[in-house]
Amino acid sequence: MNWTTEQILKLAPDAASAKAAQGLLNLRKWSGLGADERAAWGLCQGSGAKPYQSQIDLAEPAFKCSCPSRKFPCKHGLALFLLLAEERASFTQTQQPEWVATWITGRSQRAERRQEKEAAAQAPKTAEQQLEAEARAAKTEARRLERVKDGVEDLMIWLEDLVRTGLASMSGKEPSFWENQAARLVDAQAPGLARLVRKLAMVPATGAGWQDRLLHSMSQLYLLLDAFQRIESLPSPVQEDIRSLLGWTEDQGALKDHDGIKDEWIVLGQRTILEDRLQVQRCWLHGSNSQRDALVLTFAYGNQAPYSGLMPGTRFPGELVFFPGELGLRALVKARAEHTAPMDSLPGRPIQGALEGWSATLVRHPWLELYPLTLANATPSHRAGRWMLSDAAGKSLPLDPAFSQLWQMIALSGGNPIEVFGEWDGERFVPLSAVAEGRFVELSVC
Amino acid sequence: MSSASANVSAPTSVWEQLVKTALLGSERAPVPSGTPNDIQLAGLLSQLKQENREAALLRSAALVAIYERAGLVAESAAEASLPVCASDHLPRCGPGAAAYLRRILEGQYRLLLPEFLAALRAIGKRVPEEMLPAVLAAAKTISANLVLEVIGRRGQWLAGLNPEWGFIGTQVAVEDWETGTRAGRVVLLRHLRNSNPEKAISLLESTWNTDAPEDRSAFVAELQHGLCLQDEPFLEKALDDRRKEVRKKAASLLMSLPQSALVERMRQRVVPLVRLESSSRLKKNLGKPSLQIDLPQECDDAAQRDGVELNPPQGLGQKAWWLQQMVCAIPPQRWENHLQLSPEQAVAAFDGSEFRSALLPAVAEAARRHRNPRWAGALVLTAFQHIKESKVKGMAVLGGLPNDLLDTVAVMEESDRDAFVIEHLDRRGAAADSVLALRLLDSCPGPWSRALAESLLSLLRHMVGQMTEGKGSPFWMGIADPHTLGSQMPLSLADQLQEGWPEDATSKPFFKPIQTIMEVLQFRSKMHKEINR
Repeated sequence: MNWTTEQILKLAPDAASAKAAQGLLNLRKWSGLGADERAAWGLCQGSGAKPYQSQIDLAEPAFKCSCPSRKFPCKHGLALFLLLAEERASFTQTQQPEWVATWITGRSQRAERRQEKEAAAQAPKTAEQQLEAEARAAKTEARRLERVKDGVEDLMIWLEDLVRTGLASMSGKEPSFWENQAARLVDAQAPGLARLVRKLAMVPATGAGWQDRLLHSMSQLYLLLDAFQRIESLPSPVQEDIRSLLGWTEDQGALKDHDGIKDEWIVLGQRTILEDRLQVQRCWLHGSNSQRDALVLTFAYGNQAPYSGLMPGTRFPGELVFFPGELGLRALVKARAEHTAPMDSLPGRPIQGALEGWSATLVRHPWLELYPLTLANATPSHRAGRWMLSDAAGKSLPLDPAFSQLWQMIALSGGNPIEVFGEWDGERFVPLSAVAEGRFVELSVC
Repeated sequence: MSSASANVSAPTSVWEQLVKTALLGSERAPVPSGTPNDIQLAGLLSQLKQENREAALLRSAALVAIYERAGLVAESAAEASLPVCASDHLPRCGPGAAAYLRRILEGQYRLLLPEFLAALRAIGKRVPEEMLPAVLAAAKTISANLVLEVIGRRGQWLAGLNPEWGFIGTQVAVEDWETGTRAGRVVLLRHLRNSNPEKAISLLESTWNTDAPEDRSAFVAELQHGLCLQDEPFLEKALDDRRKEVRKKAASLLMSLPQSALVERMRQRVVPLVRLESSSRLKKNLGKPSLQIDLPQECDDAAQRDGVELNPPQGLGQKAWWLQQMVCAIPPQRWENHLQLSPEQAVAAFDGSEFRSALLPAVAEAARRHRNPRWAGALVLTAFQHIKESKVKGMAVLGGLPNDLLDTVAVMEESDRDAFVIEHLDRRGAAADSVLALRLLDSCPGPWSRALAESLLSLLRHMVGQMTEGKGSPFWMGIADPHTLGSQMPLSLADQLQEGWPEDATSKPFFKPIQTIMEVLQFRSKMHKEINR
């Protein structure tokens, strides 16, 4: 894949790193620059006597540098990558030096060993060992189930208490009020419920109408708990959804062995948010033939930026496998062509039609938080100080007041209808990308 | 929630009742038991398990919420839609150039924004639509004309929609003068001042009495363009304006007109107070003329009307303050006539006088206002003289710089100024010389001539050489901003700048400013290449 400067800069963990990397773009600072199909490498003169050895495994990309930086990738790695994109001719070496070959071979070997280990884990040697492993797993699972059941009961009583004393006092609660309950749920091995309680904590601060929103969220949570208590009586895809919401995770390795949907996939847009010290990137895709919507989640801790390899505004032939459940939105990329083509239009629909897609999904999965909407012929407009998108059919969709790229979208429209993609939470719409005059633009801070 | 449904007629819907109960707490209020109008919903609700009141409330709420969302009908479209913008005829700049613009706006090279926009203008391209908000926000500090030319019709349309960008106005038509926005009227005024200054004045007069003070202030400022004696009657009236800002601006403009009545009034106030000493003393002082100066005894209403402020700032005597303000209004050439001295002699005379700390800044401001290069040159030299006499060394020099005198260098003739600054850049004696030369560069508007840039480069090489030999100190790191220096050097020197530095110097901390200059030049070169592709 041919990386552009902009794409590379997006890998930077923060703005200071990007700036520092650009300060290292002077070829005078670098020596021994080289690259082949798999890797790129170079020596960068720092403030010390010995230059830093910096290298990139282009297959991922992955970075390694001998500098003491704790950031990932460090400014040397970023600068090396930028130089590779902008001054390819300066990478004159073609033979990997020893310190590069060792690392690259090591990575290949580790990848191989990982695969072997996984294969070994799935195929134990004797029937006896298999029975043992299964018994152990069953015991752990049973214990977890007991804990979760207790946690669920505890949470139901807690929610009922809140309703008994009244929601009016919710806006004045200390953060520890919510955090204590969340912590109990983590102890009960139901991290999904802990996350939902933390989301509840933020509702009183959302401004006018918070009371409605709080009752709404609390009642949805209660419904989930009700459903869990009756889980065996529900259809199996719904059971998957409920387990997933409570915090049971899917074995992604096993998932990739299933058959997925092969299609020409369009990358519509993405949004990265910080959730409890974790960077979560939501990337939305759409299958051109299957008309299937998909959500790929990528995570990163602290200083790293999540990297999914998916670029909004591009399309590629590939195979996506979907997580089990009634919802069927979350997916993984099982296989894909490296090459991508640009998009010059979005599969947009009128507002009412798009909303009907949402409500049809909602009745199958009431706990739906965010839904992708792609609108055709939408024009930004306003009424009494509130901004919205209006379409040719005479319908409108309210925009999130905190939507920070409003003026960017208005500029792209010029009063004319455009295609817009974004996330709908049931109440407000946050646009993430748009196509105007045949140009795809990601609505981002600029 | 309830706004989403089409059910406007029912005063309290089921959902609203539930919220009300939940707010108060089911302890205090009974769970709503009335059946909703919607039979289907009522039917569903009656099927819920009713264990305890709280569970019942929560379950009902969940059901009603989903029920209503499932039947969500979008609100109707807004009546107030945006006006449609006419299509642009200027082409957008390419994505490569846009990437450079993004980096400039992100803050790293913000000072290069005017250069970028000027390059776009030169090639007849415009800023891409999605970058307009960021450019408009950044444009407050740069020339509105330049911005107007590269944002295209879309940019002007956008600016008209958001009061925060009101300073970029779409020019109002003459007929719409009375109802136009402030920004639009400002643009019209500026336009008229270039072609038909009297028309601008007559427009102003037509609404002056009813215009808001902020408007009047903005409009008066526009009269600086195409300022001429015909504007005098209007400006004289403005001296009586209710708003101090307007009065000050009017006075300042009248001071720029050497033939105005205000200048004449000032002349009558202050010129007689300044006289050459009698000739016997002159002979004794061997060609250094000395002045006899009387302080003004009063600052009456007429003087205050002409812009003289009564109360001095900290540290200055009241009468000396009046003297300073009055002298500031006199075009420097008048002193030459009155005292029968050349500019250099006159400056020396002021310098040698009792009140030089008040007089020199005043004369400097007058020299800047009237763009008098000879006076500027003499003043800068005098400033240098003071600095040397103070015998302050190295970095400490920066503390006591007479900045208002040094800034007059901007007003010198370009060739004189270049020669002057180059002369000081080329000196290899005291460190103070180099400090001063670098300080002067700040006031030299870019782009610099090649000669000036090469002179700077040679000084930098000398300093780095000194540092590697262990001599000298990195004082110059604090004086001139390397980003500014890098933005003003001619691009043709980019290659020369890269080469010729001692190997062991380039990794040292003191080399960092030079490294920055190189980076800025490299960025600019690539930026121009990308724009012109």
